[in-house]
Amino acid sequence: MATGAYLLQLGTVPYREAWDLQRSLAGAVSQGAIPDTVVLLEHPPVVTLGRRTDDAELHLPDGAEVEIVETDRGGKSTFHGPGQLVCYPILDLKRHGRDVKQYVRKLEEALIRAAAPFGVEAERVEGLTGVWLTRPPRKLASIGVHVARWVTTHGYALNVDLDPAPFTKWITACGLEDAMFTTIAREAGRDVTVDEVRPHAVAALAEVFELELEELPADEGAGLWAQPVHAGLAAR
Amino acid sequence: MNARLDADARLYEAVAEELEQAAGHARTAAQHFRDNEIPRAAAHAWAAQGHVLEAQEKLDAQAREHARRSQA
Repeated sequence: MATGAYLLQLGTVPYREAWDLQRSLAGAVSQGAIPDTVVLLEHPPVVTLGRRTDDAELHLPDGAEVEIVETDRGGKSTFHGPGQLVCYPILDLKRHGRDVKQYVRKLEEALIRAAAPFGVEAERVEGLTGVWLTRPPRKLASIGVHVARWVTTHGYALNVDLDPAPFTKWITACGLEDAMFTTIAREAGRDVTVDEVRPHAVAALAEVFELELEELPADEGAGLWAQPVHAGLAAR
Repeated sequence: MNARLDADARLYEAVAEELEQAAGHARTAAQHFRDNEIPRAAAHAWAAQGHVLEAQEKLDAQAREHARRSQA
C-alpha cells in the first residue's frame, strides 16, 4: 500500500542551504511532524566531498569558479551543476524495510526507470554504486546517502544535460580513475531539459518506494495546511 | 561543577541550539513567503517545526528524568 509523502520542487538552491534544509527536514520526518519528503532541485556549480574522499581526487584548475563542500554522505567526490537533476529523498526507513543497501538499490532502480523514457537503457554495474551505460562504461548518475535514526538524507544526482568535463578535469569523481561520465541528452542524441526528466523521476520514485506523492503547489492559494497528508497528521 | 549539573547544562545548550536553528529556518521561511517562493518557504517552515519538536523532546526527557529523581 502506498504511503503519503510530500514532493518539494525547489528550483536552483545553493548546496549549503539545501544540505542544511534536508538535515532539518530529516528531523521533522523523524519526529513525525511531516511525512516522508522528496526534494528535487538543481545546484549552482559545486564540488562535494563524501566521507571516503581522498585528497588526490581534487585537481581543480586555477581560477575554477566552484564551491567545495565537505559533507557527511557516503562515497567520494562528485560535481553538481545546472542541468543535473538532484533528488534528496528524506524517508523514514522504518517504513521502508530498515535496509540501507536495499534503499540504495531502489534509488538505482528509480534512476533506471527515469532514464528509460528517453531511450536510455541505464543499468547497474556490479561492485559500483550509481547508474551506468555500458560498452564502454560511462556513468549517468551518482548516489550518496546518509542515514541517521533510520531517516535518509542526500540521494542521487542524474546528469540530464551538462558538460561532464568537471567530473574528470576538476576532480576524479567517485574516486574512479579513467571513468567516463555521460548525460541523458548525450545518450539520447538530442537536447533534453531537467523539466522534461523531472516528471519521469517523480513517477519512478513513487513506483519504486510505493509513495503517494503530493506536490506542494508553487503558487499561493493552497497554503501550508490544506494538503490531505498534513490534515491526516494533524488529526492524530 | 559536578557531573550531573554539567549534563544538565549540556542538555539545555542542545535545546538552545535546536531553538536557534528553528528561529533561523522560520526567518528564512518568512523571506521566501515574501518572495512568493512557496515550496522553499514551506520546506523551511517544516524544518523549523522539526527543530522545535526536537527541543521539546529533549525538554520532555529532562522533565521525566527530574520527576524520576524527585520520586527516588
